[in-house]
Amino acid sequence: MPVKSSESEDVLTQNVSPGNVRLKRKNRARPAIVAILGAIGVLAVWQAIIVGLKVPEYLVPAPTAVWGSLTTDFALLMQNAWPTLVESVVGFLLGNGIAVGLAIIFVHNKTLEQIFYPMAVVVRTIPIVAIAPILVLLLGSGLAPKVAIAALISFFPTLVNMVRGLESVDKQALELMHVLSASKTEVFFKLRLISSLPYLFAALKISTGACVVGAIVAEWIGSDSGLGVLVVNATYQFRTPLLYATMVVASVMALVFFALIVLLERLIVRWETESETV
Amino acid sequence: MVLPGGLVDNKSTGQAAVEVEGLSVRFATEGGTVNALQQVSLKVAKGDFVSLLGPSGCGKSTLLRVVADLLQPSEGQVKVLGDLPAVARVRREFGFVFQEASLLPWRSALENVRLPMEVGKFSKHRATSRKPEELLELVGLSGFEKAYPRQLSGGMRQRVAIARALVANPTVLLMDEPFGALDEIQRDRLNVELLKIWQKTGITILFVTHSIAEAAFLSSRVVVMSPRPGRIKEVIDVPLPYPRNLELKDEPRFGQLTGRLRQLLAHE
Ligand SMILES: Nc1ncnc2c1ncn2[C@@H]1O[C@H](COP(=O)(O)OP(=O)(O)OP(=O)(O)O)[C@@H](O)[C@H]1O
Ligand SMILES: [Mg+2]
Repeated sequence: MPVKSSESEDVLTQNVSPGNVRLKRKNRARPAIVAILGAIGVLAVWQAIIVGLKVPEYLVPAPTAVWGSLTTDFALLMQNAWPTLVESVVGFLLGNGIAVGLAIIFVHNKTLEQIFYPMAVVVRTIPIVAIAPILVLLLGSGLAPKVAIAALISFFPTLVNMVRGLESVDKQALELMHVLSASKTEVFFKLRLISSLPYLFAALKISTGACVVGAIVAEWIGSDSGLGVLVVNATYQFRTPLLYATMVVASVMALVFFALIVLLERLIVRWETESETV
Repeated sequence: MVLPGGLVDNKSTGQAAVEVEGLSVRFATEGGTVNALQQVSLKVAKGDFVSLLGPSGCGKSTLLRVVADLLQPSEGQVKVLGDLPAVARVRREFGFVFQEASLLPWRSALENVRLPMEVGKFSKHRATSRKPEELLELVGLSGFEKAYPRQLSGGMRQRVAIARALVANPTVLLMDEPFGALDEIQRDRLNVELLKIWQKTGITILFVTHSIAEAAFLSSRVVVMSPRPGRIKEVIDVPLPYPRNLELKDEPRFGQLTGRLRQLLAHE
């Protein structure tokens, strides 16, 4: 037999020896350290320019002023972050859920796809800021229009990607399933759905940022709380440090959201990651 | 029929494993109709190792795909163990090995081998199956049960694909250039192992290749095909006894055989 068992053990244990893991961690940490140092550098230069040129705070605040607002206005920020978070998350789940469901229907029914897919593509080209007022008029000033807009903005990338993912199945794998006399349901669950997951996650990652933006834009148009309201009020009152602090909170929210999806992807789509050499 | 010593009697009579009669396959393309196969008839006896040999485009894959119910004939009839390919497919009478291993990347080697038992109402249609673990051992991959396809070499992936094709304990194994993507050393190794598996299991193999040496080394019969339109030129009985090992390739009688096949292929 050409493959000896000692050889096979070698190959299998190669990737889990502790020394290799430590080496990999170190390599992974490097880009993060570089990025953090870079950010600190940019903040320092920013601070120096504002202080050096005596730029008025209402025009562009210094990083220290933004930090000041983040601490003193913390309660206000969190109070307004909460509704935005709820709208984004519910919108995200709703928009992506419907998109995935629709993609599955499209893949199983070509006629429905031919009717509705072009429609979806056209609707997609309408800017969200144009749709938002329409939805606010339709759904009132409560939670509903914000959720709807956040959902709408996450909907399209996921629909497009999920349809592509479900149809991107390896042709030979489909033939294999035919030779095995697999039913349509089996082909779907054992093949199509799983091989579409990398496409789905690519879209979900786009959605994380987009749904926060959607919720904030919706709040601009008509709301009494939320980060979008805070943005508008801070601008009118020339509380520029608060405006910047609000942006920081929104961006942290989107980042955490993004990180959660990346984590989920790592846990589920394991087969896509290449082993690194050590 | 298996003779003492694990040897398979190639001339065993009775019901044919695969029977092709007057088969024509035509494709409608932009440039007109392509006669992929024209009036092809062939009988593969149970236990035979038959290779389809011929230049690119002579219809080898087409023939194999009709047998596997992946293509419908334009004319003529194909029977697998006396039934239509679609019927034989549901009963899992044949396994298929593609040129690319086409393993599911999210399944480990063992899980890939197990796939055929999880779909198509397997247990309802097939009383016997083989243990996936034992099959991995048979193809020389014990210890790699948990490895994922990306962690395996091309040759190892093809071994997994062979194990997967055997798990339903099929009567016929259809292989379309299974070692075409491998280097010569890997190919030689796998050829030797495939012969061992064939002799151990007594399975019927229909094997597509465009390598003269591979066809000569493996087969009990070689079907020489020629293109435009795709048809059978001649069927050669290989007089070399089994078990065969790689040294056989250096013997004069092997050279004579490959020489003859080469001549047949040269004169279209
Ligand atoms: N789906 C198809 N549509 C149109 N023409 C096809 C199709 N499949 C095969 N053909 C044509 O039929 C002929 C036989 O093809 P086939 O794939 O069976 O050849 P082959 O002997 O397997 O060749 P190779 O050694 O290159 O794999 C070729 O001329 C090919 O172009
Ligand atoms: Mg071919």
